[in-house]
Amino acid sequence: MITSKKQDGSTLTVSLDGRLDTLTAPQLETDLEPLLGGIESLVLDFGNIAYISSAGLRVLLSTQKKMIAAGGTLTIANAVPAVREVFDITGFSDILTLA
Amino acid sequence: MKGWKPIIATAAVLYAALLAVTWEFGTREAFRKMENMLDYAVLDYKDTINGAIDTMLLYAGERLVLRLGEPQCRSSSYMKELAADICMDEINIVDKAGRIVATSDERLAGVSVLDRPASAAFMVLTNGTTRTFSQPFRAGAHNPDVRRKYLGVAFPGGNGYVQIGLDERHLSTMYAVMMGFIFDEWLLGETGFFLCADLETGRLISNPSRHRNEARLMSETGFVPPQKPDERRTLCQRIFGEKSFCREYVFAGHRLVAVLPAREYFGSRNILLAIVAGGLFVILSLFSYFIGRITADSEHMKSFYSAEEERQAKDLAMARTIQTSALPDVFPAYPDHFEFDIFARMDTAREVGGDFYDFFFVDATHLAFLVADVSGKGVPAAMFMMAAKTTIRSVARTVSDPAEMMTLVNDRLSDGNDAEMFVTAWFGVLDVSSGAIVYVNAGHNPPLVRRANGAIEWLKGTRGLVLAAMPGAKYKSVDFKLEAGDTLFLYTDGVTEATNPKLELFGEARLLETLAKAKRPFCGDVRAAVDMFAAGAEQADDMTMLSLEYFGPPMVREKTVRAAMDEMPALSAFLDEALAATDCPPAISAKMMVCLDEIASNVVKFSGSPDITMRLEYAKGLRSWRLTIVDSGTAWNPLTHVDPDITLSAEERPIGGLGILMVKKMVDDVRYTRDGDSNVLSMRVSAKS
Repeated sequence: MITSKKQDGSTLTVSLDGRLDTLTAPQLETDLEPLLGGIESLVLDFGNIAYISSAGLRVLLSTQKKMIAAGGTLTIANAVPAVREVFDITGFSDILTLA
Repeated sequence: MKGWKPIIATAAVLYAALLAVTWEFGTREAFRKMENMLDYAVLDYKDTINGAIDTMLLYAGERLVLRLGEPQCRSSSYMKELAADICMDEINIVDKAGRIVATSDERLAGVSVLDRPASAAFMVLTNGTTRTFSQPFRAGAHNPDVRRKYLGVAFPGGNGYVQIGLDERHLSTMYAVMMGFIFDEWLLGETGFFLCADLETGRLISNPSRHRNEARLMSETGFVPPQKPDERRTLCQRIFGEKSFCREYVFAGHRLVAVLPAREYFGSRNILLAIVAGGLFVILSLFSYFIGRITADSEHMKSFYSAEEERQAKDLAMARTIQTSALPDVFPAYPDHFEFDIFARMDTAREVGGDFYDFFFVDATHLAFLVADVSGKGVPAAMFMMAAKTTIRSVARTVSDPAEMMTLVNDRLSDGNDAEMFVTAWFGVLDVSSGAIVYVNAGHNPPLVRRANGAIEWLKGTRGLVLAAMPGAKYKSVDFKLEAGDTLFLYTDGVTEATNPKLELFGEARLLETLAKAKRPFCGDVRAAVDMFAAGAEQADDMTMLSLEYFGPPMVREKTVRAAMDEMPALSAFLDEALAATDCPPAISAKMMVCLDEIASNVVKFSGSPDITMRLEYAKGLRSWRLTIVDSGTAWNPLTHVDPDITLSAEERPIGGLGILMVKKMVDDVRYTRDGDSNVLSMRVSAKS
């Protein structure tokens, strides 16, 4: 699911692809966990994510909580319309930083 | 000079007295007119509504007498069914001696109406000359809380009579539909109007067009109902911010308020006062005042008491309401049916005719549809249209063969059709699973079919006699088949006979030309073409159109797997592939995939079902997809799940219930059914055209 990682100081950009659903979300959570140490700004590049289900939202929410607890931020970049619609429907647009 | 002072003083006093008298006179006069107008308003309103109800009851009563022929004993179950059939609350058949020989109310069987003072009055119907008799709504002996109205129609020769009863509360719906429409345009004086609202909810069913405003509830207009309704008491209130005089009348679950702005009535007094105060010659003023009063009153009479034109306008409004309120007008009409789509519209002309259309399922796979045109215009045509429409519906539900059905409809409508009215109708039944149509044409203009390849044909099968003209006429049916992609187009002659300012007809050639390039559903494009041709010329006849598109059976792909997490990839890959085969746009594809993920994961985790079935249906013509997920686990309706609070911040937000919320908001329609031991959840999405 993670296609590339790019660290620039304390900013980490992670590019993803595929679908963020019941099947892939737990793996993403596991994969992200070890990368967050010392990161103040996490950017998830959603450019190649076709859709996201509530299981994916759960991972975003827990990641967001971890980042806030550590005084950092989470940004979702390049979300496609189908993904943005899900963020809007669920009110996630209000709590996530979209870029 | 001294000698003038008393004279000036006297003149001043006289002048002041004159002003006072004029004021008093003008005020009284204004009140008198205003009260007159409100009396008239309530009276006229009652006349209109009672007239409409009488007409309706009379129509039902006359038909019953014809149907029954003579007073005869019938079982109470038959009578109950009969009452339900014609939407009445009570039917009694009374013989010449006043004995109730058949009744929908078992308690009345065998009772003599002579023992009941109120009912005894109906015995006038046995004198051989009186044909109808009715009583106003009043609390009935059967139930003191329900106000019921009775109307009786005599059997020929005064050989007993049929009595029908209708409860006031059952008028509520009809009333809401008819009256709301009528009151919007009903004038009261120059600036007065009516407000009408549902008594229970306070929701306005009319909002006068001259007072465009946002009010949805009676309370928003400023009207405060008195403790006890009294139709003779004038109330002074601020309505839409303007001081007004009002009368309230409560009937059939609705509150009607006649509103007269005070300014209209006190304007004339104030002008008069200004004239007098301006020092014009006293007698001239008084003279002109009385002249003014006389002419104003006669104007008053002319415009409000003998207003035949206005009466006609109201009749027309009522006829139009009857006509339009009875037609199914929610589209898409059958979003669950992927095999076809039906669309219809009726545009009424200045003079109301009797066009109508209808469509309904007679069983799970057969859709009946029709377009018809009643001869004549106005209220009688509208009433006859209602009778024809109801008869067709009720007969079609019991007789499946269209020829037999139309033969029976004709017999029923011809019976006692003294008005010499008739109906042309094109009636068809579509087998939605195959596209096969069986139709009967009763004197109607032939419809057109546009084939999938663009070719247009007339459907000129056997044309039978118009309905209601002659009892015993026989009808023949014709078989026909719609293939996937074909569209059938029915219409009334108001379309082809629409005229332009040069009085040329729109005609069949233009209709064919329009249909050749019309987009689905055809009706809108045809109407636009007629409008363009007519170039603003007012049309004399109603225009009705109905289009039936046939798409054929939908593509169906189905897969069943074990309800386990490790089967999910197979399910999602299957849906992915099935969607791709339908050339599904990515936005819809994403929605369907999310729906599958949400619902299937719920089933796997919580239902306890051993397996899970996923079905995708696709209607090419409609560009609609339906995803259905079936499991045999614990009964659970996800749609009754309470939506989570989506306004909480990230820290305090729990996760859960979001998936269901997403499904509900992403698709066009979602529904749950418990089918035997199975949970069935269907989600439908259509591509926006």
